[in-house]
Amino acid sequence: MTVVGSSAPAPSGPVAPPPIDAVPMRHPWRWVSAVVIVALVGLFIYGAATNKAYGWSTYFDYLFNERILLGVLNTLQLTVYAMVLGVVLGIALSVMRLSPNPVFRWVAWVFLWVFRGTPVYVQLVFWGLVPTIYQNIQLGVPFGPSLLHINLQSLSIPFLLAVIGLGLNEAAYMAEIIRAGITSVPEGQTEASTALGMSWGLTMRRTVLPQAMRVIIPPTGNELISMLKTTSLVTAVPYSYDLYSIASREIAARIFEPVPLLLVAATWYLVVTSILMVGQHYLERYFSRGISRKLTAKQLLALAKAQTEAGRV
Amino acid sequence: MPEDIRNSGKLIIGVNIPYAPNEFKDADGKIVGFDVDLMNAVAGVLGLTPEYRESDFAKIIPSIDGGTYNVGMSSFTDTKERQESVDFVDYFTAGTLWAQRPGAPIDPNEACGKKVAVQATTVQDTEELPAKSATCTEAGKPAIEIVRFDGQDAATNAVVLGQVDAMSADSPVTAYAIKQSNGKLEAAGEIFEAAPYGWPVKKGSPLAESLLKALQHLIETGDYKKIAGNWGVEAGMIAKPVINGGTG
Repeated sequence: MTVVGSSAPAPSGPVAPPPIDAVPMRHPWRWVSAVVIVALVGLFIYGAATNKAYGWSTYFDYLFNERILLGVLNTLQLTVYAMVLGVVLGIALSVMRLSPNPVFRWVAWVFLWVFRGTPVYVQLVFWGLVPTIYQNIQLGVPFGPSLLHINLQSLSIPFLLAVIGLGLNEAAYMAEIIRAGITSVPEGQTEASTALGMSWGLTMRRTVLPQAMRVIIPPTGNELISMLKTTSLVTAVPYSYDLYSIASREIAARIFEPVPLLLVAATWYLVVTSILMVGQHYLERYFSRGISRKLTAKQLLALAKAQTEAGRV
Repeated sequence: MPEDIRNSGKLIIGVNIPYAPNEFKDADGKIVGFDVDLMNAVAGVLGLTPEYRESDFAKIIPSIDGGTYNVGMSSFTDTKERQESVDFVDYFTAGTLWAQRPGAPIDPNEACGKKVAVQATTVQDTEELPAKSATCTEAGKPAIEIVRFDGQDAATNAVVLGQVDAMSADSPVTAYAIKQSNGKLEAAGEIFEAAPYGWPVKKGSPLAESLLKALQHLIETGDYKKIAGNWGVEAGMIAKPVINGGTG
C-alpha cells in the first residue's frame, strides 16, 4: 500500500495519522501442535477402521435399524417428559425454598436432601419396586370410605415409573438452579420496580424473571443434555425400550456383538445432543441481550451505517 | 389353581432378558426362546393368557413373593437357598459349561489366577466361581478373578476379544454363544454340576401343582420334546417334572 499525503501536510482539514504497517504475530508452535494432533487423529482413525473389534459392517447394518430408531424416539420422549416434570416441580420447590413459610421451606429442603443425596440408579430401582411395595393405591377418607382404588400390581407401567423417577430426581437439581437464578437478580431491581408502582407479579414477570433467565438457561441446557444420557439408566426400572436398552440388551444380546451396537447408540446420543446444543445457543443469545458491552455484528453494522450517514451530512 | 388367577384368565410372568436361547428378543422386539415357547404351551394347557413382564433378574423372586408376578421364567436354577423364598416347578436340567478361545485352552478345574467372565447374579457368579476360587486360595494359589458383566453378550464378547480367559454360563447359553460366535469360541471341558431349572412360584401356592400337571401333560403329548428340539436344547430334557427338586 502506498502512502500519499502523510509526509506533506494537507492544505486544509485534519491530518490523518500515518497508517501502521502491521504484521500479524507469528505462531510457529501452533502449527507444530496442529500437525502432531492431526497425525495422531489420523492414526486413531486408521486403527479404528482396521480393528475388527469395532465391527463396522454391523455398525452400518444397524445404524438406521427400525428398532434403534424406535429407541431414539423413546429416549427423546423420556427426556422431554422427565425434564418437563423436573422443571415444573423445580419451580414449585424453589418458590417453596424462598418462601417465608417454614413448613414449605422444610418440605422443600427434605425433598432436595433425599433426591439429591441418593444415586438416581438406586432411585430408579426403587420406583420399579413401587408396585410390589405399595400394591394398591386408595384415595379416600382415612379409615373411612374409599373413593378411588387402583391396583398398582395389575398395571404394567415401566415407562411412567421411569418418567417419575427421572423427573423427581431432576426436580431437586432444577429447584436449586432456579433459586440461584432468582437470587442472582440484585434487590435494587425489585425495589426500583416497586418504586415505579409495579405489582409483585409484574415485577417478577417484567424485571426479575427476564434477568434470572440469563442465569437459569445455561445450566438448564446442561441438565437437559445430561438427562438425555441419564435415560440410559432406566433399564434399572426396568424399562427396556430406550436407545441403550434396545441396542445393548436386545440386539447385541441376540447377535453377540456389543461393541458396534454401543457405537450405534453413542452415535445417536451424539446426534441428539448436537441438536440440543444448537437450540441452547440461540436461547442463551436471546436471554443475554443487553448484558455484554461488546457489540454484535448486527449492532456494529447499524452503528457504521449511522456514522457514514452522519458524515455525509 | 389359585382363584384370582383363574378369574383374571392371565398368568403374569416375570422374565429377565437377555439370556439366549432361553429368553431374548427377536428382530421385532418380541420376547422369544425355549423358555417362552414352553411357558406359552403350559399357559395354553391351563387355559390362561401369558403376560410377560420384563424385570431385573434379582427382582423377580421378590416380586413373586410380593404378588406382582404369578411365576418367574428366567432360567432359574433351583437351589436350596432360593427354595427358602419360593417354590420351584422343575422343567429342565442344565449344567455349567465354560467357553474359551480356540488355541487358548483353559481347564475349568485349574483356573486359579485366570480371569473368568460371568453375567452378574447368575449361579455361576454367586456359587460356582466363588467356590472354585476359594479352593484355589486354600491351596495357596492365586484366586480366580471373576469379571462380572451386566449382560451375557458382554461376557461372551470379553472372551472373544481376549479381555478375559474364559466365561462360565449355563450349558444351553454357552452352547448358543459358541454357535453364534462362528468359530471364535469353543467349549472348555464338559458340562458339570447339572442342576434343575425351575419356575419359581409363591411359597405354598397351589399354582405349583397346576404348572406341574400342565408340564406333565406336555411331556406325554410330545410337545415338550418338540419345543426343546426347536431350540437345540434336547440334552437338558427331563422325564418327569418335580417340585423343589434342587439339592444344590
